Amino acid sequence: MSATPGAAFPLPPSPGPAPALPPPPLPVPYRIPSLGYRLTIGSFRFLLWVIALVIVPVAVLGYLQKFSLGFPISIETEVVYGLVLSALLTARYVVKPTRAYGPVGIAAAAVTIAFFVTLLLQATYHLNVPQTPLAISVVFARFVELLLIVPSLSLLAALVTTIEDLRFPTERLEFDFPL
Amino acid sequence: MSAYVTRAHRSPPGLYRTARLLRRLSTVIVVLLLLYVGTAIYSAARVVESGSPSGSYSAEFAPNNTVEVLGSLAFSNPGLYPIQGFQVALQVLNSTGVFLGESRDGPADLPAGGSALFPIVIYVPVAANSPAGSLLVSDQPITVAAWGNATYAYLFPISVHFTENETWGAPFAELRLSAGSVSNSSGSTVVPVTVSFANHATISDDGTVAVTVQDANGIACGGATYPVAVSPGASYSQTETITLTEGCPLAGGSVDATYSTGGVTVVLPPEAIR
Repeated sequence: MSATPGAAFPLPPSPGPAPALPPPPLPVPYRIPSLGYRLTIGSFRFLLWVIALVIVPVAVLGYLQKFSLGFPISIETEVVYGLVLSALLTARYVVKPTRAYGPVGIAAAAVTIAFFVTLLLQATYHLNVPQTPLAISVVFARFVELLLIVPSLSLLAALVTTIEDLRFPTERLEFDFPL
Repeated sequence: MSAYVTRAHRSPPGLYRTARLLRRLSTVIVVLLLLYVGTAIYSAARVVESGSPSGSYSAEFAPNNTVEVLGSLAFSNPGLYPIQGFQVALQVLNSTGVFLGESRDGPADLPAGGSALFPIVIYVPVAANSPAGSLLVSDQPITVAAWGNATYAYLFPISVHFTENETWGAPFAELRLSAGSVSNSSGSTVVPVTVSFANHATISDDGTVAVTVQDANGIACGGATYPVAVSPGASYSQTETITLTEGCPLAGGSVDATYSTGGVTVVLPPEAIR
């Protein structure tokens, strides 16, 4: 076949329609801190919780005992509850991006409730004023009952979070860890 | 050409919002409770700093062979919260634990920044035949026990108790009604009777002591009246000659006495004639 003068160059054969590429993945709308970061911050938080829940209360109780002012619960009980609660609150922070967040929150609230119930059972403060014939009793059961509202609400919140994580596993992450 | 993927702002889902609301609610409550207990402790400290209740007391002889102790306790509440249902009770016991008398008052409310006065009235029986008859003639330790109950800052029931040992000063301490030897005088049978005592009480013995000499059958043989005006801490001793009725044997008899003041009569312990 000879080429006709003035005729256009023949077009190369068409390669056909381009193959369909997979769509680019949507970026996740949250940024979860690394485990190492959470453990580091968690360690600092643990220290703060221990100071707030163990060291300060024990120092106050020890100071009061110097003046023969006892407290219904022993220092040992306070230390045990304080350490357990500090550990649970720290763990709750570390596992916040996981499904364990709700259950650990439930455990922390349950320990707090157990502490307040222990306090409620001994909610009478007897004070013999040193070197006087004066004895004073203060019943603070109603105040502890009011305090119990706080961990109860936390328990409910953790329960709701547990249900949410079970039904929609990553739903809360974009609100807990926004970009 | 690159495409920008933008996400529409999404409101948190219902479960998330519920959990967040519960957490925020618990935070608000714990903050309010901490504020409340902090101010309650501050208020309690102010109440304690305001000092112990002030009071004043007086005593006097009263009908039915009693000594009436009158007084009042003034309480003030400079704190931020009211003291509600305040009740005060005072009890007096002798050294062997025998109940002598009590006073109860209340309930009353002490508003924040307010004060209240609680009257105290205690009748202590001092009849010669009562369990506390020796109070008239014997100094002795007594126990004053006080209770106070109230609710502080709406939430804290408080009870206060103190026991104090006091010494009772007898108004006729070491009372003696001594009959002397019977004699004849101007055709009459007479006997000298000496009344002596010390006033260890805080009240004056101001009145008359009526003495009656009785035979063994309790029949009055004669009597006399002794005017007394003995201030606290002073002593008294006076002898009167009593004319006896004819044929009234004194052996086995007794000398009886009553003290009268301001329309009130108190029976004093009798003394046997030896």
